[in-house]
Amino acid sequence: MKVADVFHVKNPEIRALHLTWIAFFITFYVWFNMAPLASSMLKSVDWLTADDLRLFAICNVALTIPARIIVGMALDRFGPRRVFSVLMVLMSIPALVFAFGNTMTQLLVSRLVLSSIGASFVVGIHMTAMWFKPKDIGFAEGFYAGWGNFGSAAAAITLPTIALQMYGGEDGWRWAIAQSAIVMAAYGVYYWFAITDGPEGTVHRKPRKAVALEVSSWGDMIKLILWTIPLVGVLGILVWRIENMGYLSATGAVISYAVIVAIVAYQIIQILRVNVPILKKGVPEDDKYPFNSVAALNSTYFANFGAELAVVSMLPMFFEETWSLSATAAGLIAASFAFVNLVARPMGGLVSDRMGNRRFVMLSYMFGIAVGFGLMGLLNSNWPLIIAVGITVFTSFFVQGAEGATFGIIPSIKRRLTGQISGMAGAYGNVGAVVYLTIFTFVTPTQFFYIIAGGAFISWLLCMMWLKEPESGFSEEYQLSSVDRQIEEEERRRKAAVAT
Amino acid sequence: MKIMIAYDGSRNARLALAQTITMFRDLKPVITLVAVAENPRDITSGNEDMFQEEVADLKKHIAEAMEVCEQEQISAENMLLEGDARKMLLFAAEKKIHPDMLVIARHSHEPDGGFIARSLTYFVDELDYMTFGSVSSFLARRIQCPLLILPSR
Repeated sequence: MKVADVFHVKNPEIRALHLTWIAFFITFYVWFNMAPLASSMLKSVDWLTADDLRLFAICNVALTIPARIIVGMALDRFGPRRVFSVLMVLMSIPALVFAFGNTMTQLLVSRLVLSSIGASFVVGIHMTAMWFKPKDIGFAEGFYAGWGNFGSAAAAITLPTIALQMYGGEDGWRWAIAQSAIVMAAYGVYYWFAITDGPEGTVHRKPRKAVALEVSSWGDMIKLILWTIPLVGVLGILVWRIENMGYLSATGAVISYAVIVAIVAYQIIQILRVNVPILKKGVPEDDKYPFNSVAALNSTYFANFGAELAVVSMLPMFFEETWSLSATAAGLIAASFAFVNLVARPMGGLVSDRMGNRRFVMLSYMFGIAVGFGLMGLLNSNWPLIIAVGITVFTSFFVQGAEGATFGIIPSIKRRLTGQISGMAGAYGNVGAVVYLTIFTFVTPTQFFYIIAGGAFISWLLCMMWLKEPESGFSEEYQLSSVDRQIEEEERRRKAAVAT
Repeated sequence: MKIMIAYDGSRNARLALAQTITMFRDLKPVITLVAVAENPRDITSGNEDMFQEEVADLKKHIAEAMEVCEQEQISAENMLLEGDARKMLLFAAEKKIHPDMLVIARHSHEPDGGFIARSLTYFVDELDYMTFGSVSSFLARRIQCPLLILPSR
């Protein structure tokens, strides 16, 4: 597949790719429709404080992780087309509630529910995987992810203009958010009829039910359990913060904690149920894979996608306050961070593929993020705005490239388990966002940038220690001795296919 | 004389095999056909079926090529690997087969489409060679045995 193929809209798979990235784009647009309007909200709603908005920003990424789990199950049952349509239509409801919410509870709960929309990434990736040949799939998924993520930039660029110039007035921001929700619902309906799950005649086969990731040794199982706890456990931080700010009673907090503990316990039990029998039997040498690599990639996604979600949520406000700009101008400038996505994310995957050494590419990117955010931490109103924008773009280039590089390594760790490994790494992006945004409620933007730089640096260290250059396929080689044996093999496979 | 051919069943690869046989027949070569099933760069597991199809296709192509060699009375072996095509070919040559010569057919990217599509393709291809993204440029840089690159026609 050549890059120029993306213009061949008549090809069914290219058409599917475009339909799907637009869907993902719209969901991201809605997901990040609050940050660029934050200042307008503060002006028009007199009982809102800046702290409340920071809390909304956490809520905005909180429930994505459980939503991913639910969406994953739904995908296996109903296929990506239906799930994507239903997700878009359903999620327009909390978006509308948020747009016209008049009490703290309404705003808080609707934002929490709306955070489920972040699971849309998984749905679209599955849709893309059904349409493309193995050779082209890397490019298609990079394209999808890059252009879809660009939705958050589009929101930052356009929403202030829509709110202040098109609608104007006190409630301009409400109508701008409502409009994005209505567009999303309409597109959800359109998507249902416009696309199919894979090319005509594809049979959607249900994958083998996997409830937990398989590991290769007892030590790896302990590590997996340790790395699983924060996936849902991180929501405990949010509960603590909401209670701390007085929007949740002590009883409510205890109930929430109990639910979180129960879910974590359930996940651990599943890990044990899947892995103990396997490990007792012993894993054959050529089927082993190092869990340390998975852990390292979890940390990179925590430090790059987590940072992106967190920074996109606070950057418009930061520019507005530091250089005293108008909301529209700040939105435009802050969008430079997410704007780079169009090129940077696919490029991260590309560079990872091109260089002889994926590990080196990952390390370079993580180091670049640490340097970039370190520079952003130096920014203040004495700096000329143009330099600030330059540094923002530089940082963002590394952040999004690193996302691409992370997902460039994942398929080569263990092909059989790729889906689960990428699910775990992807969820860690949200864990990162929740952790960073919670920290953000306590610190100034400058300190915040230094903290993110520190996070990236720690991840860089972990990669140094744990990430191994993946060696794909060295263990699996087939010697075809003759045509006979091949026919035999096909016979066997046909029999197996009949049997299942 | 041990000759390794990177073989993917494409038109160019078939031509390369024919040319190799024509050129080196008198040296009584042993030809090793190496095919690489490229790992899908896919981050879901939704594409396994297509990958298996690709492996089956490759096996079919190799079987055909083996027949050609048999008809021409050239002794031939084969190997099917899985992973990144460039790295696996390098690995097969250096660690497994130790050929006296490696033959690869350069892929043709005949640009089609309008002006924008053509320039974009041209630019990306150029980038490919610069960054050793294509199989031929990657191997030309790294392989430790004589390498014959047959241009596409």
